[in-house]
Amino acid sequence: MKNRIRVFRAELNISQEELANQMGVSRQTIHAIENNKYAPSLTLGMKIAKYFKKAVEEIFLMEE
Amino acid sequence: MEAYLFPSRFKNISGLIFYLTNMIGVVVYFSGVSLDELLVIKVPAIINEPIFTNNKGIWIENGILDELITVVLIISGIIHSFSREKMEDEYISSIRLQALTWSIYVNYSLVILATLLIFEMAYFHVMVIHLFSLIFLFNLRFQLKLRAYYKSATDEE
Repeated sequence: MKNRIRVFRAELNISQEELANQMGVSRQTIHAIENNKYAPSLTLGMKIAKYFKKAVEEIFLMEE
Repeated sequence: MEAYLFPSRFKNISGLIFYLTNMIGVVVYFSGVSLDELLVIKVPAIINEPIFTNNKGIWIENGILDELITVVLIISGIIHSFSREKMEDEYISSIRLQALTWSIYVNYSLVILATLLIFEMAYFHVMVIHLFSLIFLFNLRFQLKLRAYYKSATDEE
């Protein structure tokens, strides 16, 4: 599963650390998600989407 | 899964006790030093096979140092493995679960190999090692994966 967290984070000009703090996870976890090493739970995915005020499917993209 | 974890303040002290007791256990076991004469007290024996002791009845005389090392090793290993990280989150939970899965596969593959290839008294020694090998393998794998996890993202992207 790919995602566009890095893009939306750049738009808001926030660091991984700031996003991690908002989400209640570590910076390493945000880093792993951004690099497609870890697929977050539905709860975390929805929290991230809510934070960026986007739909979940705008942020997370299923690979064919 | 998080509900079953110990507080993170137990992690370091239990790790110290675990690895220290591991070293003591390995040295004592492989050096052949007998602990049977140390800390001898009367203990209840639920099953008392005459093959291991001359005592009869429920209460037997036993040096409990080896039992003490075994219990401390297992408890400290469990607490060390299942203590929260300071920043415990779902990714760490998934790393823990993967390490547990890996260690069960590896441990029981080794048990199967030992069962097929090792016999008699040597097999007894292997079984003694297997009392602790699962928790040891799990700890080793989990700590290595955690180290890699903490090393990742050292540079902000």
